[in-house]
Amino acid sequence: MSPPFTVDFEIDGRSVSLETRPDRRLLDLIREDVGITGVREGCGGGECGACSVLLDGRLINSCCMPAVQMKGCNITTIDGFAKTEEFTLIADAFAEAGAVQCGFCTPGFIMATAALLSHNPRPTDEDIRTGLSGILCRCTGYTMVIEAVKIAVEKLAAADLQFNQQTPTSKTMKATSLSPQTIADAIRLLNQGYRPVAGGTDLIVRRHALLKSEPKNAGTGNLFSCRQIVETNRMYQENGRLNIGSSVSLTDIIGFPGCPPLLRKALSSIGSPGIRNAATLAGNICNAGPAADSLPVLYLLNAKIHTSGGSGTRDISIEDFITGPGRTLLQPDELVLSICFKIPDEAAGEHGWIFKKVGTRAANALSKLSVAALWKNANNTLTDFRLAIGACAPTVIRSFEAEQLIIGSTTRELEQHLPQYLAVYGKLIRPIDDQRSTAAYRKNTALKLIEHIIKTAGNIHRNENKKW
Amino acid sequence: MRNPGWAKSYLFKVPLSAGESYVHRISKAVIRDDAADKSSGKAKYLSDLRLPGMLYLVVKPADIQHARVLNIYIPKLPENYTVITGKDFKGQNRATIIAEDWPFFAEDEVLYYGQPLLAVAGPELDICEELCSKITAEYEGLPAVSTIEEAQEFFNDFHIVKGEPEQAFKNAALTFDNAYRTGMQEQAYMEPQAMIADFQNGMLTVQGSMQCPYYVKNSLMNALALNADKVRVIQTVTGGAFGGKEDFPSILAGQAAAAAIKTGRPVKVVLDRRLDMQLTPKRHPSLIQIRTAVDQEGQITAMDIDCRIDAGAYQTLSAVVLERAIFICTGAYNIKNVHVRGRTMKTNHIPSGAFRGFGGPQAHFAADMNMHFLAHTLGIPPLELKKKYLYRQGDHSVTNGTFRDQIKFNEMIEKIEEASEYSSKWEEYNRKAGSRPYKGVGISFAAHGGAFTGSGEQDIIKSLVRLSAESAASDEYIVRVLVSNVEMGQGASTTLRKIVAEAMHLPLERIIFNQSDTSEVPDSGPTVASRTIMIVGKLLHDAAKDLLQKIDSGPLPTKEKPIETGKRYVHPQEFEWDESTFTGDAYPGYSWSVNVVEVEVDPLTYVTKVIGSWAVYDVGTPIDIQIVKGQMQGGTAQSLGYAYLEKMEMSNGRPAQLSFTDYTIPTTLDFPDLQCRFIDNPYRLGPYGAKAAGELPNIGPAAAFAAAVSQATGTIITAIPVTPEKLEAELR
Repeated sequence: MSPPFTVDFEIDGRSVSLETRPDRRLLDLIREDVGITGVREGCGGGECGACSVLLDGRLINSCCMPAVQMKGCNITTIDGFAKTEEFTLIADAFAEAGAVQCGFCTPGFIMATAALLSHNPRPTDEDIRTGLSGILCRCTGYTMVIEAVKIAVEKLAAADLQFNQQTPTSKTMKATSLSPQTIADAIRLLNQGYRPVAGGTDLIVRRHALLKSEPKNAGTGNLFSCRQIVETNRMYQENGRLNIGSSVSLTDIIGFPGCPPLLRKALSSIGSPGIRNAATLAGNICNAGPAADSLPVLYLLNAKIHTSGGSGTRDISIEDFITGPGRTLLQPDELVLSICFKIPDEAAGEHGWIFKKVGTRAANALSKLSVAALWKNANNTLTDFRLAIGACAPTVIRSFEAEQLIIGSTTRELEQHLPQYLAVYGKLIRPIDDQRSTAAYRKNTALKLIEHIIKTAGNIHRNENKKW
Repeated sequence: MRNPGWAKSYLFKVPLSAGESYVHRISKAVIRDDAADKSSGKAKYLSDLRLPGMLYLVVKPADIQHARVLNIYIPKLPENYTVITGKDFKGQNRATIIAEDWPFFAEDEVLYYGQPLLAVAGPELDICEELCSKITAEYEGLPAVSTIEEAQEFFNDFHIVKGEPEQAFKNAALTFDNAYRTGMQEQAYMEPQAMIADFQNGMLTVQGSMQCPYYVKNSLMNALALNADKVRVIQTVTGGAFGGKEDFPSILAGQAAAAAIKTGRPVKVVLDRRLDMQLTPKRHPSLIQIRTAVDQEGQITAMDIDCRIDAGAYQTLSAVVLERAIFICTGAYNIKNVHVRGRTMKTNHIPSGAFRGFGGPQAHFAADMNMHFLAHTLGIPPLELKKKYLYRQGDHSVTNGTFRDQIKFNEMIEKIEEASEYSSKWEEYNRKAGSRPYKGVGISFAAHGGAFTGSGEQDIIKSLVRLSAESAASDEYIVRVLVSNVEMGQGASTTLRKIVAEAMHLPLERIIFNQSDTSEVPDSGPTVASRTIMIVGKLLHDAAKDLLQKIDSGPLPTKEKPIETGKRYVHPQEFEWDESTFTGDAYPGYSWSVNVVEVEVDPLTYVTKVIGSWAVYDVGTPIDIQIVKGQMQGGTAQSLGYAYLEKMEMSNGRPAQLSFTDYTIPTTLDFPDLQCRFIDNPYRLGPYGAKAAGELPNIGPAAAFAAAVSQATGTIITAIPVTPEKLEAELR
């Protein structure tokens, strides 16, 4: 066990200081240590949203937020929110719309509604459905829940109520042992055997599950948070390149004006708003899951992983960095500081891109497979073409051999050599059967998507429905 | 009449939304009494409760499908930690779930993967979990049965004959053989199963999330050899159930109670999602083979149906699920000559159990898709063919019962056409077959018999309700509704109160409904079979009328001298039922539905998107239009999930999808608004004309979905869930 660790944060307007394990879930801190039971565990996997709370004004799933990242945070739970006028109006809207049945998910929906309306007071139907997509309900079929949010919008407008825009508490905090402010301190922790966490939406779920089933293999609570390290919190554009710090949330990347639309689309397909508010690109990369949705796009963008460690800094290309499922080149004393890539040109007309994820359902889904592509077509000749496939092999597939064959081809040549290109990809696609899909489906579908992409990029079929 | 001015009684707060209408005053929506506490998080579910000195209980599941248990190795236990096994049940190590065969803990043999071997109780949850992980078992593996086809043994083998099927097959011009399959489905209530048991001074008190407090009580009495007055069962706020908390709570309550008796301390058990999905029963998978006879004129003359459901390793309530399936095995269609054989197949799977619809969804999927197949094969538009065979008043059911009440399918079809434009879409998509993206629209019809089979309500359930009036203020009194039917999200605490309020002309606020506690409420039966409003609501209505008369003719009730009245169910004499031959009126009343689903199928990935869902229901009088609508929409979402999203596969008897990550129930982004309407057809034996509603929406949508996908892809769907993988393999 790790040495005692104390975390201080604000919850519903009061300050708490709790001694706990660094990897203990915020959900457990809230329910067991603070004693608020309106925040509930429905799945423990970041899927159902019954444990939703606001962290510095943003919706998160408290079941996948580790204690070590809570330092100095401001938490609003249903218990605190229930004391506000905004709550009363939203709760009235839910009651009037008939949106409350068994009630287990209702506080989650109300927190998600509050999070949505606080930054988007006039949401469209699509905004509402997306905003609530991380909360599962088995009773209502959602129709009345969506209606409730619309009624809440009217009620809030009529009452002229503005949500308090909760911004992160910018109080400067003393660095504590497990939330270092400098890279040097972080490396010191790495050398003592601590592991970094950047988000935790995957790590904490896995760790908790392991703790329950195989406690002896669950490791210790030796985690530290990178959030206080300045270098990991920056996102900026420089010389046509985008730098994304390892602590920047997916939501912030999606919202960054310089984020390429292709990456924005891929990141928007990950999890739900609550997950995207906590998860990071660095976390997605370091987990190195074969189905990680950001990876095919990062492969296309020739992204570099910037690390710092005992033996200095390194810039490693994403293809080299990821060596297998769950395996990377990252050394035990090394930390990912940022991800960097050249922003692709967006000259009108000639450039195109596609990101297609085949998921298990419409939201909060894991990929069965995904394909991303980026190209430039000048006068019916492909002058650039890049394509990457996720979840069809132990790591992302990108074939430079196929791309070299394709680049420079005219529409006619592309049409003629299509079988040859597909054969190159076909050899690389080696998917497996698992609980989400079958190898045969993955392979056949990936090839059909690749064919479709080449035809689209090469203007072979212009009339095909492109609305993906 | 002592309580005039009742007009101000209802909380008429809910505005009607567009297109919503109701005919009867009682249908007008009110604000649910439980909405406020549920919204603010103040409602206490079982996992929110703690008792002083409480221990935790963690169940150890077996990690083998079928084996003899040779040895179980238990590490040295720290002080205050105890192991609970099958030997800790003084009465019997068997839960009472209709049949009495499912043990709380395995004895010499493990019959399915995940079967509880034992449990560890102790003060720290994580130490209990750690101890469980250190317990190992030595097995001798035995051959396992994993599919309906492999299964040789069955618990039940039922036959029903209607008309003269043999003769009809002899005279048939054409016969068709088809097989239909439905998958396992997880109830996926949001609140995982949970119980607390406490045994003090010879008295056992169990609290928990459940549908049927008296089922749990009876099972505990039998298992622990306790008298009725020594067992008290209290239902806590229940976060969804859908059938999933009909059977399994008897198991979990038994395990917790045995631990409480053994340790003398309160014992709490809360399953996490993974364990909940691993340990609890799911909807029976089915394989239904239908042989159809068609005569020279193209008329469907007979069906021979072989219906097998996967009961799992123990029988529990599977016979009743099978009965529901075979009694309605031709769906909403009147087939003159029918032979049906039904069997509950024994496999090495977790026992299948109750899930909203209870056999109906399986039977209807097969029946409706078979009609779809016949329409396709005979070259008739599906609606035209289906319409011709829909049940009408006076027709005979498969069990030779009579549909005594009006069936208004014509009106329902008119309404659904108006809402969905089914026929014009069907023609358009037929014309444009193959154009991209693939589009299709499907229509299905469904019937659901309300309440227990035959005279079961009278002979087996013996439902008894009580009302108790006591004074509140000087000239006012309140009325307590005393029933064992629970509020589990479906709105019973509001709708049952509305019935009593209406019958007694009292303001709704003066009718009190508490969480069910067997020390206070009589046994009005389980909260199942869409019976709560239809049967219990009617008893309450009649009791309320009696109570009103008593109050009007005597002194007002006081706190000390409440006025009480009870009512016991008596089965109407007009219905005849022979349980030994399954002949007669299987149910006292039927509810009806028509569903239309419209889909778009991605020609590259075969991912299906629901782009429209419409339904028209005949549930008699909706007691609360909004609550009933909520039931209909929620049930439709479950049925659509069943049709294409929710996949539960067994790999060597082991469920492959044990999390909400892999078992994907619908999210807000999976469907558009689920449209539904009602027709007015009051049921003469129900309270204010209400009849069965809760299960009906789970029955029809899957077939409408499959019909839509069939049109979109030009293939006849015969199995659900319709995954992209299956479509790709079929259409490759």
